[in-house]
Amino acid sequence: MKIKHLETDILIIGGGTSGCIAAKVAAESSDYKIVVCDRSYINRSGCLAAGVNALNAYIGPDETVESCLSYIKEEFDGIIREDLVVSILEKLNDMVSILEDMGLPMLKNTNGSYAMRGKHSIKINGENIKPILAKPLIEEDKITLLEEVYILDLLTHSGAVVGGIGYSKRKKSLYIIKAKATLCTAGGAAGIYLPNNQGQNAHKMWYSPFNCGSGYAMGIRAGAEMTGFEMRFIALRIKNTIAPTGTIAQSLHSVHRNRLGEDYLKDYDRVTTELRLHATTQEEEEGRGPCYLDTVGIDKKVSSLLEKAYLNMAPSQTLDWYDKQMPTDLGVEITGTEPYIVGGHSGSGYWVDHKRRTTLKYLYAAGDVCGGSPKKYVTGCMAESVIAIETLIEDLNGSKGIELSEVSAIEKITNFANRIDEASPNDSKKLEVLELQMQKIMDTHAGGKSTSYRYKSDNLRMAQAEIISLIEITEDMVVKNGEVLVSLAELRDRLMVAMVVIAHLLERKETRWQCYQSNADYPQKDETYLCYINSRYEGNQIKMYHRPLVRKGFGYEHTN
Amino acid sequence: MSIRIDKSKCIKCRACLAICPGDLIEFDENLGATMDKQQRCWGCSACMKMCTNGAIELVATDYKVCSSIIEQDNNQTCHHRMSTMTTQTSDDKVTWIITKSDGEKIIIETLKSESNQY
Repeated sequence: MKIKHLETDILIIGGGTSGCIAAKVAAESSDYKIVVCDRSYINRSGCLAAGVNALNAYIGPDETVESCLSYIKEEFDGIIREDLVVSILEKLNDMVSILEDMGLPMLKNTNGSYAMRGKHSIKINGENIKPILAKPLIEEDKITLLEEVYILDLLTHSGAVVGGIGYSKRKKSLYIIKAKATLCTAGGAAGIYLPNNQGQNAHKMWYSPFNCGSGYAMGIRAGAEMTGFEMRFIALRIKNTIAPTGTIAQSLHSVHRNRLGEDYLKDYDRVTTELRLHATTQEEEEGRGPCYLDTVGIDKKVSSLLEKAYLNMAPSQTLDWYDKQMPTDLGVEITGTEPYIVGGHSGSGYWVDHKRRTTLKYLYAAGDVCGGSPKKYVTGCMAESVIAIETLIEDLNGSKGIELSEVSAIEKITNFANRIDEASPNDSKKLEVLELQMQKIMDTHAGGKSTSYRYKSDNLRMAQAEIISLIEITEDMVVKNGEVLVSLAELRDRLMVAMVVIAHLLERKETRWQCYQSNADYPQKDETYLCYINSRYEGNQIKMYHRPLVRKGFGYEHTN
Repeated sequence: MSIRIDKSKCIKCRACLAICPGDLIEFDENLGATMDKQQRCWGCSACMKMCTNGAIELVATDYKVCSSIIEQDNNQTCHHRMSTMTTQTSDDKVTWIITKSDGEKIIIETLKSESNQY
C-alpha cells in the first residue's frame, strides 16, 4: 500500500451539491489551498447523478421567509432548528440565481419569473446539473480534486479535527490529508434498512446507494454530537423504479386512489408529506392497496411531456412505462420506501451552531450530513454550504489554527494498512451477506417497511444486540485487497449509523411523526419530547442528550 | 434496472469509467468496459450518456436480467427480449432510444437548453 501525504488549508469531504458550491465559494473568496475529496467522480457523484427536474426549495412570489418557516415547522411538528432553517431560507433565492448564472436552464413565465410547480418548487432542466456544479472545481487552480478517494476517518489532534485519512482502491493508496479546517459534506445514509427491491435491483432506491453514511460515521467515531437520527426519512415513490411522485402529483394534481378507486386523502384537512405516506401505508396495511396516482385518461401530449420530465431525473421510469403500460392507460402505482437517514429532507445529522460549526473544533458540516434543518433539498444544501464555508474561512482568518507538523497519523495508518492481507480469502461475498443481515435486522426490528415503520423497545434492544455482534465481526476482518477494504469501510459506516439510529429511536418515548418515528409502545405525542434528541459516542457508549428547542432570532452557540 | 454493456459495440475509449457515481465499471484490455455488479447499479444512466457508440443500455426489468446474467457468465451476449434504452448525446440535446421488448423503437429528444415542463 502506498501512502500519500498532503497538507492543505481547507479539506472538503464530499463532492456533491454542498461540496461543489463550498469549493467554488472558497476559491472565489480566499487564497486558501483547498482539497476536495470525492468517493467517485465529480461530474456525476452524489445525489444528482441522474439529474433533478425541479428545484424544490424556492421562495415563490406569494411566499415569504416567514411563511416557508411555518410550512417546514408544521411538516416536522416543531422539531426543527428555526435559526438554521431561517438562515437557509434567507439565501435560497440567491442560490437559484447562482445556478442560473452557472448555466442551469430554468422554465420562465412570459413575465420572466420562474415557472412554479406548487408553492416551493421551480421547473428546470436538471439533467446536467451535476456537471454544471462540478465545472468550477475542475477548472480552478486553487482546488486540488481527489477523485475516487473514500474518507475512512477524520484525523484528530488535541480535540480538534485536522483533516482526514482516505483510501483509493484504484491507486491502491492511503491518503493522509492534513488540513487546518475541514468541511464535511459527505451526504446521508442509504442502505441501512432492507430496500424495497431485492437481488439484481437492490440498488434501485430513492437516495444515492453510494451514500453509506460515512459523513455521519466519521464524525460519530470522532465524538461529534449528532441530532435527530430518529427522524428518519421515508419517501413515497413509484413502485419498482422508486422514481419520484411529486412530478405527477404536483403538476397534474393526480388523485391518490386505493384499490377500490377511493380518493383516500380527501377527508384530511391538511395533507403533509408525512401524512401522504402514512395514509398510503395505512391503505396497504388495511387491505385497500395497492395505491396509485390516477393518471388514466391524461392527454397524450401531457404524457409525452411527463416522459421527458422523468428522463431528466429518473430515466428508468420512462423506460418502465414503455416496457409495461403507459400512465395514460394505467394509474402509477406508489408505495413507501425503506427509511433513510438524510438531513436534507428530515433533520438527522451533525449538531451545529448557527454558523455550522460542529461540536468538534475546526469541523464544519453542511447539506444532507448536517442536522436540524429539514427540507433543504438542492438549493437549501447549497445555502447551508455557503454559510458553513464562510464561517470556516472567517475562523481560519482569525486564528493560526493547529500546527499541522505536530499531527501524527501513524496510529490510523497502521490500523488500515494492517487490514489488507493478500493471502486472506476474498471476503466480498461475506460482506454482502453481512450487509443484508444488517438491513434485515433493521427492517424487522427497528421499524422498517415490513412492520409499517412501527417499532417496539424490546425489539429495538434485540436489534441493538444483533448490530453490535455484526460490528464485532467487521472489527477484526482482514481483507484481500483494496476494493474489499472500501466495501468493508462502507459496511462499518452503515453499522455505526444503524447503532445511532436505534439509540435515538429508543430515546424518543412517544410517536412524534407517523412512519418516520412511530413508537408502538408510545403511540401518542408527549410534550416532554418537544425537544431535540442528541447523542455523542464516548468510550464505546452512545450517550443521549435532550436539548431544548431553538427558535428563530436566536443564534445557537455551543456551550457544552 | 441495471446497465448492460454490449462488448461488440465498446470502442474501448474508457469514457464511461470515470463517471459512475458508484465507481462500478472496470476495464479489460480484451473485452473493453465491463460491469458485473448489477445489484450495485443505481440506474442513474450517467455512463450511458457518456458512451458515443451506444454500447451501454439501461435494461428495464430485473427478473429478465437475472437470466441474462447466466448467459453473461458464459461470455455471450444476451439475446433475451427485454425493453432497453440507450442515448446519443450531442452539445445541444440528448436523444433517448427505447427499444421495446417487441422490437418497436421509440425516440425521444430532450434539448439541453429547454426546461422540463412538469
